[in-house]
Amino acid sequence: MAGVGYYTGAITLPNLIDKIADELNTVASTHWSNGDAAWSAGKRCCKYVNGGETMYVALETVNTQAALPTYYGKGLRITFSDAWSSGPSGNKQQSFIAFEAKTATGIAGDLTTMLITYYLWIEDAGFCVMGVPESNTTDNLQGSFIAVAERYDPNTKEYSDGSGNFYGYFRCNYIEQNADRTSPTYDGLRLENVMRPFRYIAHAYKEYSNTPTTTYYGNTTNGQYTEIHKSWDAAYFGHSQDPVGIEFPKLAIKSSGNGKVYYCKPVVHNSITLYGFRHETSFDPIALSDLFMAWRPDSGLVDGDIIALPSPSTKKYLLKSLNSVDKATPLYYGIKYNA
Amino acid sequence: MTELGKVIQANLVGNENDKERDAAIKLQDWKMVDELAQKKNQTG
Repeated sequence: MAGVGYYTGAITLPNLIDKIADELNTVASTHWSNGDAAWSAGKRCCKYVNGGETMYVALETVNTQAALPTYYGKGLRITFSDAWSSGPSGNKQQSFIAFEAKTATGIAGDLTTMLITYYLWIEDAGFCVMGVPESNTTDNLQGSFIAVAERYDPNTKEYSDGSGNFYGYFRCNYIEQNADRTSPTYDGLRLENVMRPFRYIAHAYKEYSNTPTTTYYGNTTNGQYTEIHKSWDAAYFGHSQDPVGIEFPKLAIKSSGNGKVYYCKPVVHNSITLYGFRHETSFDPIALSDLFMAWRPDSGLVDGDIIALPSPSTKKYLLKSLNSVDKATPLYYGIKYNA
Repeated sequence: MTELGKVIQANLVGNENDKERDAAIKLQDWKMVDELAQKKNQTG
């Protein structure tokens, strides 16, 4: 284990969770540690302590077929909490990435044996992982995914807000269902695209349309992934299905003039404004993402491209285009590749 | 002063898949070479 760095390979979800937790624990800052030794074998409690700041990031394998509003899913559950009592407690936010899903019962994928090809960045600020599950012919809603749990340096905040310093970003390129938030049946089974503990949780289309008690929402109503917008499109007036709470002001492009790459870092907001069917719902920028960024493929950038920030920075990002066997719409994100 | 709103200019310095392709060629894993080529075409 090396702590800070880029990792890739193909392992099971429980092993990937172990990998993330173990590498975080190896980061030299020692801010990360095991929060609960009893959380093992497919689940881990990653505890971050820095001065008076404490955050628990719980990672869980959900290998029992969960009944989503219309489909069935297994996958990765991520929980932010500010307390722990044999499990997440206190203030709590959860997102569930059902990357192994099916339209009917009988999911064949066993997350303890099936492999995930993953691309992972680890540093003191947290982790960013993209993954693609091993395909099988039974589960017809398999998706690729990205999960980011990042703490931004409080010195880089836009203003002092008295809140914590973490945010989370979670996408699956197929099923992103988010059930009625008043129904306890679906607690821990909703895909929240953005979590800003402990200020808000946000699902792209659900928040845009301001319908927290609606059973499920996605780009149509069945909770499927839609790409973030590339431009102001007259047909859609921009971005009704864009994530709310985090903004991607400029997706990375390759200049046809000089071959250089141009982009803006994702902007995390501290609150969202819900009026219903608004095209802008975030007016409260608090910090920028550093562990990941987003790109678009139509300017010549391709999967695997490595971009380097200008000197004296040594930062690099690896651009990944990940789709899945069942869904051709890829996730276009760049993850950190060099510190 | 934060970087919010700043457009970052970065340099394209290589492609990870090319490294994989070079490794696959060395191993004479032609299936992998084909897959990597296809993947690149999908997003190019």
